Amino acid sequence: MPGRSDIVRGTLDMLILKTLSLQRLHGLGISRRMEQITEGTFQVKPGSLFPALHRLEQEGWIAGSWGESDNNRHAKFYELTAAGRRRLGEEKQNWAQALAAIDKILEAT
Amino acid sequence: MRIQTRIRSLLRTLFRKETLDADLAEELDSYLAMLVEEKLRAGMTPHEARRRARLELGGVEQVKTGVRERRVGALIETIIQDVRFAFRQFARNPGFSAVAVLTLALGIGANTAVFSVVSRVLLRPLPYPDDESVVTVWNTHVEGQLALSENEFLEYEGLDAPFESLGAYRFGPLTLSGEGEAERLPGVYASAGALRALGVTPLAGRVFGPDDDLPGTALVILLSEPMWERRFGREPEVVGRIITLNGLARTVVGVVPAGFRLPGGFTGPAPDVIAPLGLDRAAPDTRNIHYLRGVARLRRGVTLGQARGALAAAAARISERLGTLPETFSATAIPVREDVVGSARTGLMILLGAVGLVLLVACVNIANLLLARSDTRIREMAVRVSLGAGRGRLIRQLCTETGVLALAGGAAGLAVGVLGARALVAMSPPGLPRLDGVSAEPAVFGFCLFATVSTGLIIGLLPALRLSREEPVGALKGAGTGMRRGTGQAGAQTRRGLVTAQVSLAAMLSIGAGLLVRSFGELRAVDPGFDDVGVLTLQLSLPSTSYPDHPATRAFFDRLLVDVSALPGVDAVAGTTSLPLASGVGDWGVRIRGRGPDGLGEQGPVPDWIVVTPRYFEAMRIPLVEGRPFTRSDVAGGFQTAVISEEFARRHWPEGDALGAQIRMSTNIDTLWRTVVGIAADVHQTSLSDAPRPAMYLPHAQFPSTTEDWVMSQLNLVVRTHRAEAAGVAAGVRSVTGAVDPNLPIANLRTMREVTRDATATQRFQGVAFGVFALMALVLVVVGVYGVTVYLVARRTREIGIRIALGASPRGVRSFVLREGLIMTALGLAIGVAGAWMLSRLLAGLLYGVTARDPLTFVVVPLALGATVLISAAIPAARAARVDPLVALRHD
Repeated sequence: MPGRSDIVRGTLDMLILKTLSLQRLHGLGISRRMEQITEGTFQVKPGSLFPALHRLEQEGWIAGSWGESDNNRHAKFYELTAAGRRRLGEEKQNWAQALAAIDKILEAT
Repeated sequence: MRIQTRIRSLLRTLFRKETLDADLAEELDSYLAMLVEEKLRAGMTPHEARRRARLELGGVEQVKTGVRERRVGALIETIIQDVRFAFRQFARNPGFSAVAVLTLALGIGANTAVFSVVSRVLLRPLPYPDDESVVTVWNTHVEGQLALSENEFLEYEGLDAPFESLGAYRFGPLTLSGEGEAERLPGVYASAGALRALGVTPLAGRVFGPDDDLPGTALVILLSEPMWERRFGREPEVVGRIITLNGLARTVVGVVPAGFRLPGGFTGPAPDVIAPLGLDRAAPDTRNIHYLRGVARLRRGVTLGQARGALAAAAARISERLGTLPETFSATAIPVREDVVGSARTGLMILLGAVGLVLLVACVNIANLLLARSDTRIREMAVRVSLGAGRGRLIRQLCTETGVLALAGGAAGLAVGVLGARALVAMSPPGLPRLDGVSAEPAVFGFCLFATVSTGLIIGLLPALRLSREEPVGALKGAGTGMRRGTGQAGAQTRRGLVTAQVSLAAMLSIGAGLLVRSFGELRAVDPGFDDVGVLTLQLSLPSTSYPDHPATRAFFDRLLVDVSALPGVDAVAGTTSLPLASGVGDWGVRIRGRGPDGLGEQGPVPDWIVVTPRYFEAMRIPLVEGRPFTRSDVAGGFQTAVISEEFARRHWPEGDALGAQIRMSTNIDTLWRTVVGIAADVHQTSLSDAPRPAMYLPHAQFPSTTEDWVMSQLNLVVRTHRAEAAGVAAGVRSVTGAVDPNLPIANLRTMREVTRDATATQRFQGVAFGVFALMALVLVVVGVYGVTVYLVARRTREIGIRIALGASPRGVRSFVLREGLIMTALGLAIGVAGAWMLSRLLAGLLYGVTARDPLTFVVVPLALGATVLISAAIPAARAARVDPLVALRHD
């Protein structure tokens, strides 16, 4: 089993937006989905997840609404808004640029 | 769009907080429930599933705090929350809050009051555009600055290279008549060049041109804005109107803005009218009377040094031409700001420094109170830390508390400051310039805010740092039992240090106050040289229209003096051109017959000259050391006489043969030799603190004069009465004057006692202000020392109980507690005395008759202060001695 690690600083917002771009999810759903995609590498703790979720909601990038879960549980679901979609695009671009830059540094001889 | 979203979120954070929080709580509940379900599905027992789920969630409250802190506007919300909490805290301790706010209000208020005076006097711009290049022009000689004579002014006026414009002026009242009652208006006679140099822009009409300034041309006048408003309702047609001043019809040519004053005229009322100086340039006054003030504007690029050089060279030319001036005669330029406020600056800045110390003492007191309180709050803080509050968050909250305290103190302080400024202005000495005008400038508000914020930082930092350093576990364990003393020890040390600092600050203030009060006492003890009890004085100026020549003015004064002396209660009455300690005095070069190489008289003596009527010495009770006073037989054309002062006699007739000597003034008009017929005791003519200068008295009847002569037409009357209360004869003097000339306004009616009191007003003001500040500091220190001793005793009640139980006597306990106070006080006094020893040099210029390191003050004041402080420590010490050991051992 690969080692678990914290999410790279500053990328949690992007990862949440990306996860929600695939489907509407509640809080636990988001963290489980992230774990699943990264095959358990990234774990999001509630202490980081909820502050991030509420901040994103206040920024208008995601919208929360109450609904029923698969097990008929009352839960708050989040979905991406149009503004959130744009934001995700920007974040992806920034990330790609940062990554490219880091690569260049690492490959420098 | 983004902005709108944010604003909506912000508003929700601030006003829909409950909804948001309920929503969050519900969400977390459902999250936990789903987590438990998940674990159950994985085959855990219900108990195990719940435990693991809760562990994974990691503390509901911490998560909630995390969410709240990341909300839009979380900072604002925290602040509001903290402010609310702070108010609750203060409401719970109303005594503490009241003491703290009151202390701050007084400290900040006193500072604001002094600053508001400082800003009015020193910081406000002068009413001259580009005042950096405006200078006043003075003659200089050994003993200081001297006004200009007409001759000298004309010479300096010709200096074209350094000065854009140079003018002269003199202050003098004008009497407005014609419409309604005659009114005496404060006025100025100014040359066109003077107004140009000052750069005044008229509100209506124009200022003077060169043509207005010539004698014999059309008579013109400028009005002040308040005068324009009062007399003419601001009507624009006032320009061109003709008004009667001093009996002459003058045409109004312009209006100058309110607040316009000329250098030297920043005390007392502003001029209502400005008349042209009207020098007869073709035939200037040759008596060499120095009565003109000079003012000039430097040309662009000309330095002060260059201007001074040019003036000195011009003075040298005059000296060479006349050949009668003392060798030290020269001329100089003074920057106008220095001229107007220079003398007030030192005193005011020292006052500002002193009141700053008071605020510092107040801050220390409150910091101490807060520290004491923080000891009782260690547990509260520990609970908060363990519930997830970060250190930054705690410091922020503590700072908010002190901030709220400081702001409350500052708001009250602003009110105190406005009232205090009014009180300061009311008790300020008459010599303090520029006190009129707006009272609540933005600068004062700014200063008050600055003082408040600095206060908040000073008082908030120590307790905040101390509390946030606490380790939660230790605090929770120890705070309840009273057994933990680790950090408490450091706290007690800090508090002792603060009290020591306080004592030293108060010592410095008290020593400063002691020096000033002693100096004031010395000054009050100075014998002015005349008897000021029972003398009434007033000033009369005769308009040249009704009194066109010298015989007319003489006839008026002769009759008035006879009529006033006939009043019941009046012993003697006389007139003088220079009232001691009130009006200025001029000096005049004289020659002594038979001295010098040519026997024409040596150069040198430059005594003050004072023209008086016969019974002056009697009315003022100035004793004659030798010879006789003036009599009615000293008339024009007769035997020419003079009375000289002892100082004059001592300096120039050291052999004691002054009586009978002959002197002559350096002037072309008075060419007769005068015989010294009397020697009068010295009089402090200009100030009590300066040693009396040589003086010469000339009989009014024999003074050389020209027509339309301002020297002769303006006299101060001195009326000696039987009664000590001189003001009683004022009504009589008024009615007699009115009977002689009903159109003559009376000015400066007051007793000589008031005049001498005014002469020490500056010193009294400084002494009282310093004294009040020192007293405030003393009260604060007493409160501070008392508080700390009580605290220390409380902290060691257990120890004291053990000591008593083991047989310590009450006396022993008392001295053991007092020793704490003694150490703090002695250390504070030592530091304070050392500080005062270094700083008192700054006071030297304000002191009279005591040195800045006056041994008496430096010993007595600290001792008195120390005794007072120790008494405040003795009360808790006595209480400690009565501690019941059983109670004490059960303490905490």
